[in-house]
Amino acid sequence: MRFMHLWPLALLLLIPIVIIMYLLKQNATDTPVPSVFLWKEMYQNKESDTPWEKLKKNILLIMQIITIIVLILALMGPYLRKEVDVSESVAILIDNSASMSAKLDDRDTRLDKAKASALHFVDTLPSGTKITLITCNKDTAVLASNSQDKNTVSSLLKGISQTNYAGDVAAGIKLCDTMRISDSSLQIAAFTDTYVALPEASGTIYDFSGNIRNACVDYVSCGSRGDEKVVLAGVSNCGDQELVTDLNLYVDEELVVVKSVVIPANQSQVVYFDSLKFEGDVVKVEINNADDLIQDNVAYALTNNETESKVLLMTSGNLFLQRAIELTDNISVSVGTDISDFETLAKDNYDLIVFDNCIPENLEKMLPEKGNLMFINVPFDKYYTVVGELEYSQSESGTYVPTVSFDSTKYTQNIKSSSFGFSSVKAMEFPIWAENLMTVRDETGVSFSAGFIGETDYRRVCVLGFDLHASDMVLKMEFPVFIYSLMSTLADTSALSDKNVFCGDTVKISALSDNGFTVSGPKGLQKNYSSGLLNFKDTDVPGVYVLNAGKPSQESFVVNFPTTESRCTGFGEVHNDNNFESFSVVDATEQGVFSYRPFIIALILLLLMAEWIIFIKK
Amino acid sequence: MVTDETFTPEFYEQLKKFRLQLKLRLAAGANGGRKSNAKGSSVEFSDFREYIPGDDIRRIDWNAYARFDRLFVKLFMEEKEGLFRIFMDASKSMDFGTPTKAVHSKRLAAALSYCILDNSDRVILNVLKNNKNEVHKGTAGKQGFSRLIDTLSAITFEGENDLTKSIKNQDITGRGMSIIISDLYTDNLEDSLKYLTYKKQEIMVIHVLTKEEMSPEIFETSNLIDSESGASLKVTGSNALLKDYKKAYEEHVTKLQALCKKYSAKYILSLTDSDFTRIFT
Repeated sequence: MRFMHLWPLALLLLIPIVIIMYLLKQNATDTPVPSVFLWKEMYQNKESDTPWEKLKKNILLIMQIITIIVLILALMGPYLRKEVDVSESVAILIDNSASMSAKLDDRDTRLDKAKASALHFVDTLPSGTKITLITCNKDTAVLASNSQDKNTVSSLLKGISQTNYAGDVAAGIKLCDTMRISDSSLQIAAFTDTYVALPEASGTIYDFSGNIRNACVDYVSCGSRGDEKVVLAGVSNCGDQELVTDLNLYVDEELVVVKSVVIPANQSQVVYFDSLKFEGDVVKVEINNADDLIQDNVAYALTNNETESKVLLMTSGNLFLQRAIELTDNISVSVGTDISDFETLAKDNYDLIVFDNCIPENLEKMLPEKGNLMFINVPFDKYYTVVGELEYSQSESGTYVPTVSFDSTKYTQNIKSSSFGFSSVKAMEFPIWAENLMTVRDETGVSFSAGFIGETDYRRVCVLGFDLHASDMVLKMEFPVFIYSLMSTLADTSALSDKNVFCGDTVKISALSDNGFTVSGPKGLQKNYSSGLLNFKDTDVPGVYVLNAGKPSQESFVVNFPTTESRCTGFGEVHNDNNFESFSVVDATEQGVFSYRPFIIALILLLLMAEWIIFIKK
Repeated sequence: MVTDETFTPEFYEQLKKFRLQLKLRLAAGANGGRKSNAKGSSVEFSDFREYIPGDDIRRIDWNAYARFDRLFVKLFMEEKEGLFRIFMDASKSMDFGTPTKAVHSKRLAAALSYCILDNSDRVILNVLKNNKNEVHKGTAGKQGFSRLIDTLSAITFEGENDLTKSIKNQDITGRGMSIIISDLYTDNLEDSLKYLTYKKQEIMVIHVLTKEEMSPEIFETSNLIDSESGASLKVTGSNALLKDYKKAYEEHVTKLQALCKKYSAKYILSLTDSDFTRIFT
């Protein structure tokens, strides 16, 4: 038998207090009697009583002392461990993703309880068991590998901290499944709040989902309608009860509007804040009522006070392309039809220059310092290499038609399933700095890149290896959508790859500055970097982050709580899921131990009843 | 005649019903209504005996001399008055209860005296108080009853008293009957009984108690204060304690009864709320 707490032992001081109180007793009232002769006689007779009868006189005191001791025992929380059926090696997976920060009671979060339960689990393992300790969030980290030192594992367990990242134990279980190849006896014990369907693995999942009430702000968006601003917030009620609360809208941390909302259980709602007039960079929407997972009650967004981007289109004539580019918001397009004018035109510092089927001979010398570039069906050796031209041809072996297939990227997601005809496509080598957009194969089946996008030389560059005039692509409705997706990246001269990310996401920063740049964020985050490209990963805390590369180059981006984590409200019927049969699921919110406390409390009640009966009888 | 709270008109009505039957034959004392074992000069013939020089020649039976030619003296039963001593415990402990043991004792003493005097006997009242024996001279005749009532009325109950010490304080001469009226909170009654028996006394012990003393009702922690000595005793009232007290009380009474039996004394328990006229029934 073990105890959860030892502090109640201090209550043993109550015992001498009770004894002193017995000695002092209550003040007696004076009662005159004719003589105390008989009373004295009575006590003399009693002196000849047996020791047991003498004891009986203080039976109430003894019972009270026993009651105090039993009460202290109950407060110490005695429990008996259930026997753990263990093999030689055990992998302990601790989910420390964002959802584990939900509070299961007033004091402990899911992670606190999971760690405590895991500590108990480690404690019960026989000496010599090989223990592997793995934390699971967006990444999987092995803290201890086949360690036989339970103390080390316990201290590592205690040191596991909460993250705000999205994730679950799925990757960890996959890793363990791989480890089984070399150690077939490996037993998995996963302490998590999220259901993971991996029927090929087996083990025990300790479920800490519990029963929480939670609401979250899924997203916030800010737009303009004339002179007025409109803020849109998606709010979800993940609990089983109707949510009645206020939504607070802040602009640059100043409260602007409060709106009451009523959201039925397990439903979402879009809330509009319209007819707003404010100046500011960041809006924040906050749910007023606190719940068990408080971090997701706030979401941030930027106000999109963007300046107009200038685009120079060098083309001998391509109305389709010009119109498609002009569809993009906040863009002004200048068209240059004579390539010899480029050097003059380029002095106007354009955000994006598009070379459509034409390019100056010594472009490398004429290129402005800043500005993104788009090359359509032209070579430019400085950034990429054109291998050859693949054209429609007929021969004895058959007819070759250059067929372009689209890769899965955020730019091609709307045209991926469409097919276009091309009479001629440039086969290009795929540069290491770029993300491939489309692929073309030659007659022998060798793949080449037909288009890509990426960052090089501190500017974003996109290359399309075909003439739009020699394709039916421009005639299809997918074309403006495709161009729009490309323009949203290319016409944006921001140093940030993304301005709205979730905790744990990486933000690519491309900043040119003589003195380097600084990123500041919530909770006093302040980091200095030298000029250049950076994958900024310190997005642990939700809030507003500011990139400062010297005035006026100051940009903000917001980091929000991953709302996928907000919905971890229980395993539900998963316990009986057939796909889950290889895992046994334990409701671990009860610590997985047998507690004596209810029995001791029953014993205390019995003692008090017995004491009461004895008192009445006396 | 004095009438106070003790001797009310109802008391005198009850006295008429009260009759005491005594079995004693007393030897000494003035002439009275009681037959004595001594031969004397009363009219009731008892026996003959031969004349011894020195006998009163007036008592020679001349008829017998004529018939037997010898001198015989006539013997007559001499009538003597009985002598009753009432030892009344007048300590503070007697001033307790409703009605008080003092009132009850006075009434008992008065009733007994009434019957004694009515039978032409004599009563000596001994008031025991502060280890002393306050003797009130013998009272005889019905006229003396009024005086006795006055004496009884004037008794105050105070101080401590050791029963044996106070009884021994006064020398007792002649046969008679001693009646002790007390609450008997003493463990040396035997000394008293031994002394009185030695003094050729027939003894009657009237144990006066209140109902509260038989069955006290104490259910809280109390300091019991002795009314005589002022000594205190702390007790925590409970059913078990009262049960123990009852047991001690019964043992005490049993002990007293055994003691009285040993010295051929009559033991009578009289509760203050009982009818004193029925103490002998």
